[in-house]
Amino acid sequence: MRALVVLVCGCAVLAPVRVAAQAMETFGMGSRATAMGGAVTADVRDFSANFYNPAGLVRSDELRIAIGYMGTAADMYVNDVDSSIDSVHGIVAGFVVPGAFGDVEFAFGLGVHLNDERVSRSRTLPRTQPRWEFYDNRPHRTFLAAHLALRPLDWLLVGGGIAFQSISSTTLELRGSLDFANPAGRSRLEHDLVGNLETLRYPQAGVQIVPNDRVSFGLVYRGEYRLSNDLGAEGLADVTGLGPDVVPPDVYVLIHTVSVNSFSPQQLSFGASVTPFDRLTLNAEVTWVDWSDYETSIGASDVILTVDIPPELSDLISVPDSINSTRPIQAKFRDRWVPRIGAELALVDTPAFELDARAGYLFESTPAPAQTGRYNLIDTDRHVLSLGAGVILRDLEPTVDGFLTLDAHFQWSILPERVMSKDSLVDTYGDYRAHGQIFAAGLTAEVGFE
Amino acid sequence: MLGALLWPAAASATPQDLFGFGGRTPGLAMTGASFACDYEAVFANPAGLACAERRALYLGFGAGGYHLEIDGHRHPIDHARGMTLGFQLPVPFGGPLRERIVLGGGFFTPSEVVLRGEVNFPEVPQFTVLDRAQIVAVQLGVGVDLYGLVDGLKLGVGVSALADLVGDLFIRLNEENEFSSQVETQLVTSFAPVVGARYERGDFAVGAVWRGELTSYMTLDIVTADLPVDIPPLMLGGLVHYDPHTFVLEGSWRPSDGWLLVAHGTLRLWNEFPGGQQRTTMSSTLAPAPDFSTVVSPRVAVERTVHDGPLRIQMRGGYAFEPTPAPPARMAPQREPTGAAGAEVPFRILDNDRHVLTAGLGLAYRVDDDVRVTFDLYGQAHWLAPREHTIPSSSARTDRMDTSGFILAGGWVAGVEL
Amino acid sequence: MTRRVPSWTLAAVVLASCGTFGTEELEDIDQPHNGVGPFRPAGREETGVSGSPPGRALSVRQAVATPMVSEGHLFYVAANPLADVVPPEEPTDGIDWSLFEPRRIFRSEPGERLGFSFGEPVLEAEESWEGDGVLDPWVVPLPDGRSRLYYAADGGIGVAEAPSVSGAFTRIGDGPILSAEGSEVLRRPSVIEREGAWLMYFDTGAGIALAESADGVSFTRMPGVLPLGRGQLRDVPDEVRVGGPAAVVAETPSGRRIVRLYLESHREDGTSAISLAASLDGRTFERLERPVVEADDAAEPGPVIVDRRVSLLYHTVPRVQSDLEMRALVVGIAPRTFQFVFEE
Repeated sequence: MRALVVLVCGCAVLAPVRVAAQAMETFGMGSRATAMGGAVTADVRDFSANFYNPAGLVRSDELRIAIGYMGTAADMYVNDVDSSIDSVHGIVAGFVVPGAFGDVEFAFGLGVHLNDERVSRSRTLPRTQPRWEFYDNRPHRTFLAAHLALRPLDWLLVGGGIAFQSISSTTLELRGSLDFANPAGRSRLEHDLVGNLETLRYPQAGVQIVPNDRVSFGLVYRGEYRLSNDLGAEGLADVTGLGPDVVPPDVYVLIHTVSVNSFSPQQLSFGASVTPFDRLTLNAEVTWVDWSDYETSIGASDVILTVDIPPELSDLISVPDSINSTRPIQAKFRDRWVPRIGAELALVDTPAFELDARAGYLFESTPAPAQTGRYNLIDTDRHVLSLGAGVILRDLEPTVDGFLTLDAHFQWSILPERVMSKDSLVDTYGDYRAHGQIFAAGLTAEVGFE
Repeated sequence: MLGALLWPAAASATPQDLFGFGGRTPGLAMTGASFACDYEAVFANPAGLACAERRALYLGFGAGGYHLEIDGHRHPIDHARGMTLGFQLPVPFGGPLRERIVLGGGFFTPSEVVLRGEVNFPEVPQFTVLDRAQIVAVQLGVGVDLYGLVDGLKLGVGVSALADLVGDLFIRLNEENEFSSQVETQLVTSFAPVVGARYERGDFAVGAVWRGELTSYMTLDIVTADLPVDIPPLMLGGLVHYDPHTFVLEGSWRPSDGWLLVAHGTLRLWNEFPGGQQRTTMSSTLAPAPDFSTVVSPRVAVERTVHDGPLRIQMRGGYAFEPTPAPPARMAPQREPTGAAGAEVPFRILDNDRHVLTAGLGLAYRVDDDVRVTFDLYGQAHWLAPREHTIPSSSARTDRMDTSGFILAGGWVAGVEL
Repeated sequence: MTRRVPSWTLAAVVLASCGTFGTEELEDIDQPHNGVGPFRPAGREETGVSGSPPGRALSVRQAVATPMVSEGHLFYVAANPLADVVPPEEPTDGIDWSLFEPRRIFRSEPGERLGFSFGEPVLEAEESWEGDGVLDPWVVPLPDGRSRLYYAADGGIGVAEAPSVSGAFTRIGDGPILSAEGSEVLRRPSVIEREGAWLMYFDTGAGIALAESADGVSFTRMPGVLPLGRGQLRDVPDEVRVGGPAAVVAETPSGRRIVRLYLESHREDGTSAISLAASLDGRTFERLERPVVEADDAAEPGPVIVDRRVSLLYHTVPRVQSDLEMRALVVGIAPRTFQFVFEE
């Protein structure tokens, strides 16, 4: 009974989700860091240290609570047709809680990015369907990480912690009857479903070296996570509605599918920050991203079908001779080196008020090879320009013995055109050109208590 | 991570509703609405956060082992093991807001199965109320001390968060004449409010809490097109998590230095539980109505505190009675799409009255003027009163079914207060 | 994903071939697509023609064959049944043209939708080498606005020209531009112009052959037939021969100009499907594994490239009318998810 086979095959790909990662990997976390091109590994000290470098949590001794909002608007095209990439917008928040054991300072931090439309979204597309591999669904995930940082020496700051994801497994069972003549009005089906998400934790650790007030260095490692999804589906149903004299034939189907389809590579960033004079900070860093370890978002599946259609019904119900198992095709991505630079200039600096201007740039070369075969993982290089401003208010007593910062940023991602030419002249999707741009902006407020 | 934390889990309710939350109140028969003054208050009564004086971070571990029997044979349910995280953060405002606002958070993350959504066929024996410890719990709250306005009164609000999993699957023939599908699933956060109040006067304290109904659905809608045979739209999944409206009223008394006596009542409106299953197609029948009942759980607890220099020791004990909201397993009519009663089928939602004995030990050591470390240990024994059901288990040849068993749970939480 | 686009968008795109489309609705427009197939039958709302089979694009009582579209005009062969025809008692293998009047080439004006109304004859057999009828039209627009009509007849392949696609066609020369060799029968000419060279694909009965020309009139036949047949494909092991070529040039978004050659794949059981081969130089082809139209013994393709995503394929499928085996003219759409929506 072909129809039901189709049904359960479809269920089999419920679990696989596409490459997924958090929005801040693409669009930054917090307005100050994003405005500086993300080149803050060496000098981050606010709540965004939960993403950029957990060692920075212990760099200042204030209790910090931050909240902000960010949003994006994508303008992406394939063959000059708008790809309708969904925007990402959500809340960023976090806190830094400092303390001390004797002479050793420490701090605990928590950072979160929570999309406001949904906690997360996964999307599985047909195997060969073109998709913007990094922008279609990738940012639609929530990020939550907790870190602890220590300052064993005055010039040495170390921090580490974990971030979390989950692995999915689902089993599905269908039974009952599917009416051939009136499927919507007479089918009687029941189902049993068990869906599990198991914890996956991955590490983040960083170091900041602060030899003096003018220079600092930072090194951070973010671990890899890959999320597999496992789904088993089993169906046994009668096909009714074939006529009064027909004994409803049974159809049995068993499906198992596994996919490694949510992946964030391990990465290592090294950065430096210098303050040549009091009002200017210059940052530079480079990030190695291990994209070569990426397998593919396309999973494997196996299908068993047993069906006994009476010969007199063979013209009425088309049963496939066989259902092919599928195996993933390697993505063959390359490692990526990401250079970043950032600058911060204090335009006004008084005991009660400070106004900062910021700018940054980063370049991400695409790790995706030319898509000359059946699959279409679209990606291009990305140039990212960013600007920002921030104010610091320090005269807030008695309500706040500390400061309040208000930061804003604007980010412009430029994706130059990339042309894909297929090896096969009869490829379903054919050659295509891809390009685009993405605008992102956000605001962050942080209050610090001395 | 939050996506994982918020995912729905097994059929009903949350682990904290079953075992309590934290390291102290689980040893006090899951009470705390009138006296919890730290991160545990995010569940017990967010108004209690307002009396937290120090910022603190807590980490712990808890486990529960099930021994449930059907007709004398053990019914497998995964043991519950998980990590507890908590924090409290008095916001150091000055002026009129000084020592008035405290933020708190509490998380419980099972160590094996973080999330489980399960929708079973109605005839499958299922402990819908008890099999609910495989779930991540997220709770955030804020407490406000109204000193100066109404001395002794504290108010608190918070949220418990879960998520709905909403999926859409579209199946069709692809360009290469192969079956092809497109699926999109989203986790959408759902919240339930928690509102609490506490009034303290002298040695007495009274706490009241309302926890809103918390539902979580896991649904997958399947639509097909371009296929040789029409398939009706399929709606898979159902209600995989349900916390009923819960009302708590609790009083506590400190008759003398070092003693705390607690009396507590929890009212749960389980009668509004709609059942987990949903129709697979518009023309399919629906599983029988669960017909749960409203239940009241009485609890009592006592805590003894002694001091020895910088060390504080607390010994705890308590008892709770948890009546079952579920009627016995029975033959019950399926629900037809028209609303009429359909054919009777076996309906095996199982639950028993529970008697819960708890005990606990708390240690706190003041390192210096700024730092105090704490360690709380608890244990619980849940005894399921034997119950007779009117239909047999699926494999038995008798005309009835007996359920019984026990649950042992325990855990610890260590904290640093700064 | 469904989006409504302004009517001028499509109108601009298809002006060269089918300039009569109204407002459309595009599904899955976000995704690139080659439009090579497979094709789905157009719906009743898309063709404006009622009746079976699905995708019917021309409602006639005559026998019709070999449709193709040029500049929005439909060209095809049609013939009325003989007045005193007696239907055969046994089903025939395809159309028995001896039961019909001589075949003529017809032209239908552009319609409001993808379907057409029955048109007027534009060419009928007059020359001695043409025998009883003219068939297999293939019309190519010329840069100066003229239209050139290639056709087949008993003695080979001839050509005629008209001042425009809607004008009167006049034969060029008094004989065929390509003659049959020996006992072979040349049918189904399909001509494209590519980089200054004219390539004609035609059916020899043994396969698809190629002839080349510098002016589109004087062709030189290449030896043998193109290697497009059995042995290349694992999915069509029962293919016995290929024929019925219909070529079209598609420019890809990367700037490559690809020759798409739709063809008939004839099977051992006597049925046929429509398949596809493609080439960069027009001489060496790559076959698509699966047919682009497999159901209903499809044959006689006539492709139309609407834009870089969307293609139409006019073709024929069997039908029986008045107890006579005939073929119905239908149209398919690729990609399958694309849907035309016309304003009422």
